[in-house]
Amino acid sequence: MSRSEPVLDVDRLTTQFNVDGGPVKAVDDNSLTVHRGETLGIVGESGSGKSTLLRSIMGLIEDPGEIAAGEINYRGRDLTELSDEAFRQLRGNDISFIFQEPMSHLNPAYTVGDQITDVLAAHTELNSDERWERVYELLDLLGIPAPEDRADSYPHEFSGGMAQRVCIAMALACEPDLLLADEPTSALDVTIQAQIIDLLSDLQSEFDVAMIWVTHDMGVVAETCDTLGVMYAGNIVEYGDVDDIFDDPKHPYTEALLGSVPTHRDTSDRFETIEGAPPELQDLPSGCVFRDRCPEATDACRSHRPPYYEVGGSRDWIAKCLLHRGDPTRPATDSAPELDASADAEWPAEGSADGGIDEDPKIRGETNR
Amino acid sequence: MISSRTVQYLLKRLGFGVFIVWAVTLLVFVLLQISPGSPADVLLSGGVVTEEMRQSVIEQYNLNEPWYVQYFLWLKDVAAGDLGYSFSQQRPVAGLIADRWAITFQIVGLSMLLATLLSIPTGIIAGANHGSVVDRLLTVTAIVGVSIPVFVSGVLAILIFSFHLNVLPSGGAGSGFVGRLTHIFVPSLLLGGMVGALMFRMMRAGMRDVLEKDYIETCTAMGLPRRQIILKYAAKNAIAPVLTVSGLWIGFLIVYAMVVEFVFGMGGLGRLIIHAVEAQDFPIVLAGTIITAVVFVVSNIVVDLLYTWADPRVAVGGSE
Amino acid sequence: MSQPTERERVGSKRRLQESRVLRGLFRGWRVIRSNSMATVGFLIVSALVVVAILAPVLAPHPPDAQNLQNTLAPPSAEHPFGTDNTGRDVLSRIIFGTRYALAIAIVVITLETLIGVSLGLVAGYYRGKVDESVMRLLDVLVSIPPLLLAMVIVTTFGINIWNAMIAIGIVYVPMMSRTVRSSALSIREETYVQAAEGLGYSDSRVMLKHILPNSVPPIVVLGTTDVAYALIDVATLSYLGLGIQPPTASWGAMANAAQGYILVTPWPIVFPTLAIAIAVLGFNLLGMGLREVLLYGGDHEEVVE
Repeated sequence: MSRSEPVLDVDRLTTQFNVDGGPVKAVDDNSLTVHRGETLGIVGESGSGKSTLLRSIMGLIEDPGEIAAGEINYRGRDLTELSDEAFRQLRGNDISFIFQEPMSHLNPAYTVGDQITDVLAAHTELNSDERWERVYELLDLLGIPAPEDRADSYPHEFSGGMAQRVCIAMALACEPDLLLADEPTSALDVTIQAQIIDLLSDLQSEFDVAMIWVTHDMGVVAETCDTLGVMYAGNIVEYGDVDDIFDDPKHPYTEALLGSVPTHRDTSDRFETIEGAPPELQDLPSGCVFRDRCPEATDACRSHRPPYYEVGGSRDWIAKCLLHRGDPTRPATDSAPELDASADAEWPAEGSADGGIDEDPKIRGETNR
Repeated sequence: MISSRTVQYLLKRLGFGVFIVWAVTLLVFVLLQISPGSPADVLLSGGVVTEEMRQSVIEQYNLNEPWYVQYFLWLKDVAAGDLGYSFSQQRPVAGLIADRWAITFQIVGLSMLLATLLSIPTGIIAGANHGSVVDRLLTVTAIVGVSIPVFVSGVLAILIFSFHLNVLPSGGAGSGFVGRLTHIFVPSLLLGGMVGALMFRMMRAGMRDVLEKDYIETCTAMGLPRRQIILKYAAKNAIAPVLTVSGLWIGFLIVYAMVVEFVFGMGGLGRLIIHAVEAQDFPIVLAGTIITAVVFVVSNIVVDLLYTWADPRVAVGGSE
Repeated sequence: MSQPTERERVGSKRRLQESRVLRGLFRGWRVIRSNSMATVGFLIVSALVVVAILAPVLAPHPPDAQNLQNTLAPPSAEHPFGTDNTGRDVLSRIIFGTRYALAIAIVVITLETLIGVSLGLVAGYYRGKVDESVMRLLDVLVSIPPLLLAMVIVTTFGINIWNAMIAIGIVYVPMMSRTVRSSALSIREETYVQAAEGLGYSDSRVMLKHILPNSVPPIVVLGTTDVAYALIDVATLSYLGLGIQPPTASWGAMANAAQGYILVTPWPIVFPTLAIAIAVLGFNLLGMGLREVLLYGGDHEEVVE
């Protein structure tokens, strides 16, 4: 794939919430990039910070939350430096958002047509007739039957799946370059989910939109995403091409996530799960955030935060795990500092990692000293 | 927008309203029955009583019949427009009321108008700017507004504006459109201020609630201008609960309009009913209660209609 | 008896700590202090209580002492608030008037809570037909404005202080019932209530020990603000001559008596009306502050409402 200018380049973003006990970092020093036509998936458990990440990009973070550090570069403009008015002009227009719950995100007091035309009125020069034409066009495109009639309906007159189509229509109304979707199918029935996923994929290809899709569902990721970022406790722990990662996950958390997805080929009696629960963001462990649940954890993991290693021989694939010591590292950042010499000493000799279940030789092979 | 479902809903409400008015008549009638002293005495009180009059009252009101017959006959009279006879005033009640109701309802109307004009915009501003100086100022004003009884502010207003500053007429209802307006303006303003303070607080609370909702977040995410978000979207959502409660306030408004009238000596229903209570002149009080109940019911139905506009989910007969 | 043993001291301390009422009071105090409106309101109300209790000590003159030589006098050193139409000292009467204000508050709260809470609990807990009939009854009561209903009751039963207070107490019942009912409706769905029912507790026990304690916040908030409105209503009734009659030293009655002399001197009417306004303001502030804390969980920033 050619390296065109990215539509979105997030650099070391940190979003924190200032609560009584001190600032809590929901998004800790994370970076990502999305290009035209590309779909980036962000995957993680509840509370991993993935929604906050998305909302930060959109500028929807309010008191007591704030963007504490980093840059969000949209087509060369840093969104964190933008005035309120300038940002408002981008929202709904160049960058759009799709929420998880369609019904609660539509105003019950106005028809869907009204709501969409208002978005068009805010960002385009179309006159009233033209706006309504566009509304019918959009509703039709989204597969809503009898668009002229339905445009005069109120949100509560739609089913969940239809309401989400309306929300997507609203998001696409002004032909954005970047679409941010926060678990758009999680609140819908399974059969409807598939429809919406297909719909979004088709629309994305048709309009060549850059998209970030936040989800907890690996299946969706497999189907729709080109790139994948795996988030845990506010940190992106692995980031790279979807197919590469699915074939050969480089971070234990990713591996565990993939392992926990049941397939029809599984024959065991129990589901694979990840022991334990994600840590409270106010109370993160020292060292690697995943160390309490990681089957490969070592002493070094308890005392040192891993840097980002470039793995799999590719510059576009990174994992934040000490298993990859020896691989080239990304420049040090707050959440992924350079390791010092003492870490070397604590690294156990080969074959003595505690509690390792799957000593995948492929991974271990890369850290031979 | 007036779908058949809306019509159905309204018919239901209308039926309920009729039930309420009927129940009120029953309630008041029962009270009459259980009051100390015989009903004849109560009905006659306030006037000079002779034995013949007692007999004629008993005849007229069928007080020798069992109570349910009495009630039925009385109800028939009321439905035909005969609201009884006031002995303290020596006139039919219906006539007494007909002379005076206009002033009272003009005051009620103007008060409601002023209350809405004062409270809705300020409520929106206060709610949208929660915690700001403007918000605090307005809220404190509203609290004070609610705490001062209307007769207190009325008396003070008369003292200040009419006696010392000689700016406004101190009493009477005036005649002609302009005259009437100058006379009822201050009383209506005071009354409107009191109700407006309540409406303001509800509107403000409503705005606060609504601005936290998901669908307002959508507006921000779609890049709508803040002014539009607040004035077009949030305000409409926030006004729904205010509407529900405003039906109740009409009741308050009617009664306190009577008090204000009394303070300002305006010759409306207020003075009539208050003197009737003093004289224990039951027919007048009875009539006044029924009229109030009817107005209450009718305005509640109007409010319901308005509510279906503010929250379309209701018209379909259910809520999301 | 000799020094109490360690066990006895610890035991009595624990009993004190476990006293639910005391715990509730401490919590109430913390709640009031946490909100500026509630604090101010509480101060005003406490001041009223203090004045009412210490009235004989605080009042410079006996409230009923007439002095026909010195009627309708303006404020002076001897009579800081002036005198009324029979020469009685207005200040002293206002001080004694606090007793009536508080009596009204107590009567109204008691009636409103006893009847209103019971009705609301029963309606919310049993639902179904019981609920419907109670609600219908309340709907009917609600369609007559409180003041008018009070007037009707007073017309029927006569104009005196007790009728006025009781009438007002009754007319506020519907609001309280509705609030308690909606509280009961939602609380009864909680698992601990269903657990209690499963254990076979009697209905009244569940209502009183499980649902009621958790409905306390809205009851307290509504009760306090209703006192404010009730004071207004009783004062209005008295002012109109339909409630507490002169020469009783209640503020409304004082205003009623002074109304006739308004052209001569405003003072005898200004002071009682201001007293009413301040008392009402106190209860209103307290109620609103309590609402802010108890129902909205407070704000991390101190705001007026």
